[in-house]
Amino acid sequence: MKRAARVLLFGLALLLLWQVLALFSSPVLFPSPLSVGAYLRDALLDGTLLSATAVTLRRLLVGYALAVVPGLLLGLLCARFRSAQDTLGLAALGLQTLPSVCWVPLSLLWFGQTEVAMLFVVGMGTVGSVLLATADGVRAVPPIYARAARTMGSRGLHTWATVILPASLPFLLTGLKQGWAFAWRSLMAAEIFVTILTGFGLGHLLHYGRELHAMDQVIGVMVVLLSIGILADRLLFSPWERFVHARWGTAAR
Amino acid sequence: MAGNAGGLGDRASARLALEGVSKSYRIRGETVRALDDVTVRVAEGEFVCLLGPSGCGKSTLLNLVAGFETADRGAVLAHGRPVRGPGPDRMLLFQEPALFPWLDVLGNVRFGLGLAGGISGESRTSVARQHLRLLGLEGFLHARVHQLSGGMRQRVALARALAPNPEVLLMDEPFASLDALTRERLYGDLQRIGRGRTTLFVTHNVREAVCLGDRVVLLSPRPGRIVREFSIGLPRPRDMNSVGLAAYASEIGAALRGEARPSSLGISA
Repeated sequence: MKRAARVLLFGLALLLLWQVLALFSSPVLFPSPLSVGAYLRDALLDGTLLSATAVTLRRLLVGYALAVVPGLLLGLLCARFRSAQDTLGLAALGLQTLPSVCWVPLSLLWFGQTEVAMLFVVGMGTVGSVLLATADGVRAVPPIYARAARTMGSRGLHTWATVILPASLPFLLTGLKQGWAFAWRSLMAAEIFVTILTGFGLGHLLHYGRELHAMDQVIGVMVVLLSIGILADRLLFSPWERFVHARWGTAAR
Repeated sequence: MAGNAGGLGDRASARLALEGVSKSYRIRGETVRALDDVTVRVAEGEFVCLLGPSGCGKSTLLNLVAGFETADRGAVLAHGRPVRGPGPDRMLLFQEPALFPWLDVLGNVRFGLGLAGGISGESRTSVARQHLRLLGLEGFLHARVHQLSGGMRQRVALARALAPNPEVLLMDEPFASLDALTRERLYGDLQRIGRGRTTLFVTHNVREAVCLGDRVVLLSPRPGRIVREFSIGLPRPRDMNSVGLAAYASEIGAALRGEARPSSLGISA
């Protein structure tokens, strides 16, 4: 209860600061929380915000899933085989350092203004980081676990399935979370840069807010993006992190 | 064990045998000889302590028997057959408990039982519980590893190693990181429930070796060579603080430091 009150108080203080700053600046460049609130209310009521959020979340989840599966599998491969690490791992490192917006021109030429183009950008922006985090995570597993398992008669795949994988869970989780952040960034870059006709996402809403000089819309969409980020962390990752911390006895949250 | 006293053990009946084993490592371009022409035999049911200062290759020796490493020269035999890799017939207990944090206490002990094969899930649980009860851990079946003290963790590790009933137990300074009181309790536990099991126990603690071993084998450092052997004729269970144990310990300690001293105990060497 005390923590909830603290969060509430912090939010109110931010709003107050925002309102005070807005009083001293041009509403065209820095709208007040009230006008942003009015935009959010209108956009909610006429359905644009909800449908844009739905479109964006669907792309995010599909693109993320498409990247996480090969990222995890190839990451395991890299952790197991030196040759995979030297080749695939290097490629993934390149991919991870390449800003995902760089995939936009190619993606547009290959797939046109379609959903696939969006998913491609998200996927390419995510897969490298998931792969690297998985490989690093598995390598960070203390070798004593595998030795303990082997002396008890565990071999090959059994060791991987029952020891290496569960032991690397804390690291895999970090990788999945990092991948999520990359997917989110890639998708926003793609939506802001690419106009497609198959769905109007939050990035587009943000983009058109700028085109129309509607700063209340720009900031309103940013507030939505922030909220989705926090919610996703709380709903998707926090329960897992709490589980792992409780099991491993690491930092309590 | 009187039949083996004073010798290397009988080759034919040895449960474990290292015959003229040598092992070197290359560390930063330099060759370090860890073991040099070492012969040790452990008879069925015998408890042998390998005693030596750090760097004498005793952990290497144990790793060879466990099957984690291979010898450069010589033969490593278990049950009369060459060792080809790690296996549950030669269970290795590490200095760290190496318990799996993603499993609870019971789950950890069940892990090895699951690999033993031919045991149903139900009887696995009951065997695991029985071993945990023997070690006074019946109240912690579902505790998390991080909730246990160091001594309790090592007791869980001991239960995990013993539950599948391995023919041979290999122990690599398993009590070195524990405090003295906890250690003494574990000596008692080990003598009680590990009795009659063929055991090769590595330590640098003289009193520990005397307390646990039927035989104590002394290794010299770099390269590891066998210096002397002692048969410990004390009755069991042995008390860490008894006068007899102290006499053996001082004799062996002197030998370990390289002091030639006439034996006052008539210990075979």
